[in-house]
Amino acid sequence: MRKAFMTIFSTAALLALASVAFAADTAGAMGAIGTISWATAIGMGLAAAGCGLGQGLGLKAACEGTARNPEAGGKITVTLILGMAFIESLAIYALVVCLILLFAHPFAKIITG
Amino acid sequence: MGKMTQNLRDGLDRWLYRRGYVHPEVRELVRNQILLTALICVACLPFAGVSVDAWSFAAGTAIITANFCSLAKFGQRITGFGNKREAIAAVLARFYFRLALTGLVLFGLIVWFGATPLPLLAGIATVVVNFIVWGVARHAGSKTHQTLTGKEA
Repeated sequence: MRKAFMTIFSTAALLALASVAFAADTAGAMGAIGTISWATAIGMGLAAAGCGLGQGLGLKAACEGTARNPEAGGKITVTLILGMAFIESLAIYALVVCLILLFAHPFAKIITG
Repeated sequence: MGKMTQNLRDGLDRWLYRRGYVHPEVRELVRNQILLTALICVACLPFAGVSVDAWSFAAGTAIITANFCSLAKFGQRITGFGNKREAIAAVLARFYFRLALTGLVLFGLIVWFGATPLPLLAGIATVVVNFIVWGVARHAGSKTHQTLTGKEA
């Protein structure tokens, strides 16, 4: 079972990295587009994972706090919602930055010279 | 003018209560955000046909308000979930669903409608401004209250 997983993951990693290897040969704009695409994909993935983790941890703590002291439930709920909204706005900022990099082309002039 | 504002605020409060925002502080936050969005939309309306920045800013504000309203409504009853794992799964599922939906809307706005990203980001940041103002006002209110209580004592 473990061997099969290793084989599948290795194949997937090789296939995923093949485009980088090919992109490295092509000079200029195409290479830059490839790099930007990778950067946005990794950046958004990290942002979504980090924000999900943060929300989960915050909620876990809020559930525990409410269970220990039900009278403080109201205050905990407000703080939880504020925290979750802050985290969610961070994820949306990351999303907008990724969309800017992908579709608004802020570095187009620099790349094409 | 002051009475009209008070009536508008009370009416909005009642409407939000009927819509399920039962927690008073959460309702206050949502009400402030909705009023801020309405104000920005009205202010940007005359410039919508002239400037892309104006409607981009209004669109950013509307997106984050919709997100916050959804989060606040669900957040009020999330701590009441019996099972912690169930609560976390529900929050994460809703978070990723909202993020995907927001991504689609932002994609449409930037790619198809040519919205400028910086005013869009500024519009999204209005929710943070709302929270900070609310927090500062609350802090100032609590300080005043403490002082009064001290004098009375």
